[in-house]
Amino acid sequence: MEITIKHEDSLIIELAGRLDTNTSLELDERIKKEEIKENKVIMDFKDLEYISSAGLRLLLGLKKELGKENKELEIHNINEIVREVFQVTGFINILNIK
Amino acid sequence: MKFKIRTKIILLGASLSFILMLVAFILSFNIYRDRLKSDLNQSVQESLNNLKADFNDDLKNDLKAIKDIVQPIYDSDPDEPEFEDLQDRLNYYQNKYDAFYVKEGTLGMSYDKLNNKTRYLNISGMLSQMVINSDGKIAYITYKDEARNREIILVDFQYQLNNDVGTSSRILGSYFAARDEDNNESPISINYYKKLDIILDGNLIGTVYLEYDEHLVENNLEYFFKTEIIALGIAVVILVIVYAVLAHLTVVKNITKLHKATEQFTVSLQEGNIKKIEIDVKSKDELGELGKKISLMEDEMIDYTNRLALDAKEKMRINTELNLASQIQLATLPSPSFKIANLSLQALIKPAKAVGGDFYDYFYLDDDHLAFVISDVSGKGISAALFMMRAKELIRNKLLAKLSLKDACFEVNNNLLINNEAGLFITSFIGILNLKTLELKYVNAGHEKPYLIKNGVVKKLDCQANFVLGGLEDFEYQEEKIKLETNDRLFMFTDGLNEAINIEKEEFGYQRIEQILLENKDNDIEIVLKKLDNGLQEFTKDLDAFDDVTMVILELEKNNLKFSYHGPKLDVIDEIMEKVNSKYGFIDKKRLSEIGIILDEILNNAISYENVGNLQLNLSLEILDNNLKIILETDGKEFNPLENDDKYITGIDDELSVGGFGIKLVKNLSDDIKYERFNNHNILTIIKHL
Repeated sequence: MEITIKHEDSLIIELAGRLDTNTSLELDERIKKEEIKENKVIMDFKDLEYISSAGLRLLLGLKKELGKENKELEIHNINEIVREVFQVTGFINILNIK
Repeated sequence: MKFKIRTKIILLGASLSFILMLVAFILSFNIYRDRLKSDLNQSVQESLNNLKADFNDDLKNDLKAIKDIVQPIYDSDPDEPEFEDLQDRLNYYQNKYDAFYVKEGTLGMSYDKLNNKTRYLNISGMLSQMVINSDGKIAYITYKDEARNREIILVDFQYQLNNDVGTSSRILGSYFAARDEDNNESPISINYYKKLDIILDGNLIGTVYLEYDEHLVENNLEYFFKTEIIALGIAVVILVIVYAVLAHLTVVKNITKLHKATEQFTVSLQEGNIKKIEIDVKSKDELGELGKKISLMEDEMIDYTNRLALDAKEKMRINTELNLASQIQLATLPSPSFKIANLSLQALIKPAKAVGGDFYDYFYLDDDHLAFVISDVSGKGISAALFMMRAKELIRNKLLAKLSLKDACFEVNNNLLINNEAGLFITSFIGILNLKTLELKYVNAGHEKPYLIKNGVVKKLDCQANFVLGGLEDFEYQEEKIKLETNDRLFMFTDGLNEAINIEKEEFGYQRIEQILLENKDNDIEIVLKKLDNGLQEFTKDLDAFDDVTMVILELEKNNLKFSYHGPKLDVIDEIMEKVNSKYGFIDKKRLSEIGIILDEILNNAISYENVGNLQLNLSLEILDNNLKIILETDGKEFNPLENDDKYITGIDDELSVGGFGIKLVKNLSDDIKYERFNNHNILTIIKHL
């Protein structure tokens, strides 16, 4: 799993590989280290192969954290399998997917 | 020697002239010398003859009178002792008779002692006249003192020339000791002489000597030598010049012209700007002929060069088209790499020319049957390539028409015989593999037997010797079958491989193929073909391949994975994922992602919620009939994840039940899922269609 974090107008987190049990832990640690000043966090899933429930939990937790500070979470560039996972689990309803 | 032909001809002429002149010189020199000598002799002899005629009896009497005076003086002492030394003898006579004196080694007597001076002068005058008229040098008259064997001079020609007696070295009555009669030496000093005996009344009174000098001849010869050398030298120079001019006009000029013309022509040829050079040699000899021939050759060469340029252009055009044809031909072949659940195939084709007659093919007959073909068309080049396309399509069509393998071969064979004036045919190995049962049906139509690599042993597949395809009408092909097993490999090739020759005309042969197959039995099949290709290139080196080379290798793979852990931690999930991804790389990417999610969820579930320190976890994956079967077995207390409610999130404040989303995803992504409790083990079995 490759994680690239860019501070632009928004905080951009680019993921490549799998977002599963182990990599979710890794990503969680990386995000906790970041000081999020931007009002919006964009997760770019362009190169993400798939996401498992561990990844879903991370997204939900992150969304809640950001919500407390009135910050937004956007998910960009999801592939077919990620969309399927979001649909099956209902995450499609709560995430801001672009 | 690096001389031009002109120099050579002049040198040759000069040498010949010089030798000729040298011979002429030696001959003329000898002739001239002999002639001079004979002339001298003749003139001396003539003078003597004249003298003889002039010497009348009066003169003879006069001479006798002189002799009568001189002789008694010399004869007077018969008891003359023997003298060791000439000087002693001379002294003896000087003392004896006061008229004698010694001068310059001779004993002299003054003419004044003579009674009649006139008589003497008459005779000496005749002698000197003779010397003057002839080529003689000196003349004198002697008598011989027999008793003592001496010559005594009676008259000397010089007397009249030198009036002073004292200055004459040869004086009347001079006496010469020890003169040998047979000696050719003259009594006086000069080398050559002629003599004339003066006889009166039958008595010898005296002898006239006329001496002459042969140096006269030598001197004349010296002059002759000088003038002749100059004359001959001039002659040689003139001869050489004339010769050179003639040689130039007749030969050298023409050779130079020929040389210049051919040189210009060669330069024009080398500069790629070939043009006709006219040759202006009009002579009717061989050189004129040569000029005409060179002119003809120029025309031929110009014609040839022009044609060559055209041919080169044409060849380039054909090459371009052949390259295109080659690309099109190769494009008709399926990918050289093919991988499905339990089978991998690699192919390598190397045409010897731009287009070739070899081909391989593989295609599904239905979901469970894969057909594959390797073929070699008799012949090479374009005709073989066209025939190959026809054969390839025929085999494909007949097999896809659901004919049995041997019937398909029967049809293909008869079809290939139609309109086949060129008599082309193909050798083929055609197989149909049942992907479920791994049964291989095959027909070998005159092709190289493939190798079967089984349990680390390389050996040829047993094959019936069927006839080639397109060879004999209505030939009944024998179909064979063999049950293959996972891990078996089948290596098929065309004879371009085993019959490839190196520079020593040695064949690559079966042994090298078998060795490489054996050495690489544990390597990927892609590497096996690379090793074979490298081995072949190393063997043939720079030698161009004579025949197309095609290799196809097929491997039946064991696609089962088994994992077993005691007390696993979460990071084993990563390890499992890596293995699954590499083993099942042939599976569609989206499916593989779904399998990844399933595995991640069920492993996460098992490892996160059991007492993992003592947990025994066994995971097995197996592909069967296009299905992936996942079995997860754990010990410990009974836990059925399927009993958990399916979680569906509606808002962000929903409680995050840990297993919820996971199991829902697994159920959704799997085609079948079941849980069993067996022998105190939890067994979760999932089926996923591929």
